[in-house]
Amino acid sequence: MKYSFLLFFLLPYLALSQVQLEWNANIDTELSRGGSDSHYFYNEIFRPDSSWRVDVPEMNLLAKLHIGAQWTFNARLQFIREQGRRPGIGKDLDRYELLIPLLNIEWEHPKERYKVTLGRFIHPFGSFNQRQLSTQRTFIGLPLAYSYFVNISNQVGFMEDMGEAFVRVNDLVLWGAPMLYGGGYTTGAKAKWVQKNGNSWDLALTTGAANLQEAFGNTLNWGAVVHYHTQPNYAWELGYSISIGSFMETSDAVAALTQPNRATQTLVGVDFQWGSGFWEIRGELIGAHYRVPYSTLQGDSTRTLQAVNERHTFLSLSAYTDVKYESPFLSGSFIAYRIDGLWFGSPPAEVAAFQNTYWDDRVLRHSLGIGYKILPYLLARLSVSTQSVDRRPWDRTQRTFRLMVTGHF
Amino acid sequence: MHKFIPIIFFSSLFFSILVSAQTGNNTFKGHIKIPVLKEPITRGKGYNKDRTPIMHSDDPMAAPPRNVIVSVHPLSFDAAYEPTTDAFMTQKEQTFLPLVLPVTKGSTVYLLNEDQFFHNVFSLTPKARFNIGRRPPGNSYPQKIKKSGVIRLGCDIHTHMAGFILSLETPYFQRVDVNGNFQLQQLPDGRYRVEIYHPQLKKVTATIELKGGQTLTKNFDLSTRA
Repeated sequence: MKYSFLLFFLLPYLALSQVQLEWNANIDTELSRGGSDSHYFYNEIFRPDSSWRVDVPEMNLLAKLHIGAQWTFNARLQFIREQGRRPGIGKDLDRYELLIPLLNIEWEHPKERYKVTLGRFIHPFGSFNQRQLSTQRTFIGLPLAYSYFVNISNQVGFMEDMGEAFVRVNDLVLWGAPMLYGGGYTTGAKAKWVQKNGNSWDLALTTGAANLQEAFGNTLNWGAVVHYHTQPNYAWELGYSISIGSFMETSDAVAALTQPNRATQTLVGVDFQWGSGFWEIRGELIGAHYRVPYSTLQGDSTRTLQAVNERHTFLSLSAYTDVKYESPFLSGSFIAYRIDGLWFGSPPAEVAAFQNTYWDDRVLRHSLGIGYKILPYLLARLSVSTQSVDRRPWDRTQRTFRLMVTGHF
Repeated sequence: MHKFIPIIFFSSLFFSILVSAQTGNNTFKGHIKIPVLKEPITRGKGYNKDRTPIMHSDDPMAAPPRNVIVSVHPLSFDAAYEPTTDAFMTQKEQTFLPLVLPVTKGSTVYLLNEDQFFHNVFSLTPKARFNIGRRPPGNSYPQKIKKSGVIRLGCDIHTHMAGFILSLETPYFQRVDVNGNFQLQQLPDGRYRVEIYHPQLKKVTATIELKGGQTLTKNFDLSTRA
């Protein structure tokens, strides 16, 4: 309500301007099965619901409102199943979440060389973020670098045994939650500059690091992102990104730390795309640097948090490459392969005392996908994936099958 | 030999009459009024990718008023038609130019890329599905059109792009001029079905009859049919 005065000033402008609304929608329907080691963070399937199932993972309504020639209002309304759980009819509908990940106003220079965005927008880091809609993606699942959790909590920093084995501290369940990447959207202000040679810069000041999933309005955090995009020739596109920010959230647990706003994440990334004829290759390499406080637990039966007000550095590397081939003989069809990898550096000596050689488990994943555009507004995709964690044997527990039909316009 | 002269004479006369009937000099003309139309809403237009700014072409051939196609289809005789020559559909400023390309069935359409980046052209229209892959600037790709009717084109790289090939089984068709006028000449005597096509409007049909070198004027108001 306190911003209603803005509407008061905006309404006459809206009335006098040429206003045009464009809107799109899409809905995903999925048949899936995950292995017994499924997890929302790696295959978007909730482990207890990993048996065969058919459901609607996501529905979207997208709006673009042109206000005159230079101003645009953008919004996305997202109806999504909660953390890969199996939604049902009736009472289980509460397993859906209603989100507004995109809500911004943009001003664009008449010659389309400058653009300023305020509000919630797509995070400019990397290249995968630009494919937020299901129809723009080759594979059904996200690359690991954008979805996999790491063993650092946004509530207490680094702590032993976090991750798959959750830890309860002061009646709070603490996960090693922050993604290596995973933001997708962020909040703040963004400027875009397209150079005369076609290369472009994106600069953004945001309300948190790239790994923040929620709490966009948390005033504790801040972030800055730069992305440079260049196209050396018609076939090649290259991007370079840097993202710096903090991701600590307020909680009862964090109160135990005397300097809570000290968890920072720095990402450096390179993305590329090559395409010609019926072939397309995409990939990204992301290096992550965390500087976080670490905490320990005291006691065996009723373990309590003991804050250690020291920061340590953790490093990780992630990469993926996918290759896509569109068949000229069966128009609208494609086959694709993706390889994902996550590697983690050595932990500090204090942590190494209770941790293995690496501060988190390395992961290697292979995915195979096929797709077919049945109709201009109907896309079918099938993908299977298997992964190995910490060099453990490849087995069924880590496999995923997904068949998705997407209706869109 | 002389006994064949009358047969040859009357045969020539008969065929001359027949041929003159199909190469008559009738004219069908008129004016087509269409409503003020916004750009067609296409897949992904409301959610364009940030890294590739949406481009707009101010070329008149992208605008609705120049993309009304009038075709007349003989009902009382079969009209032979040849493949349309110089059938070019280009991609410029992320726009298909023209928005609608009328050709006869069996023609070869040359798909051009006049932008400074890759384009793709595909069709998911039943019986006319094709995909020419990513093509660099300056590249021309021939695509034979084997099906009659509307064939919708898209670009996989720029999902907001849409173009249309109107494949016709008649040699008598025309794009309206800048004022919305059309004039089809040298139409043989006979009955015809008139079709007026625009991708954002419902197709309008009418039946006409032409004979004796007449000029028939018929105007169409599509402004209430959006």
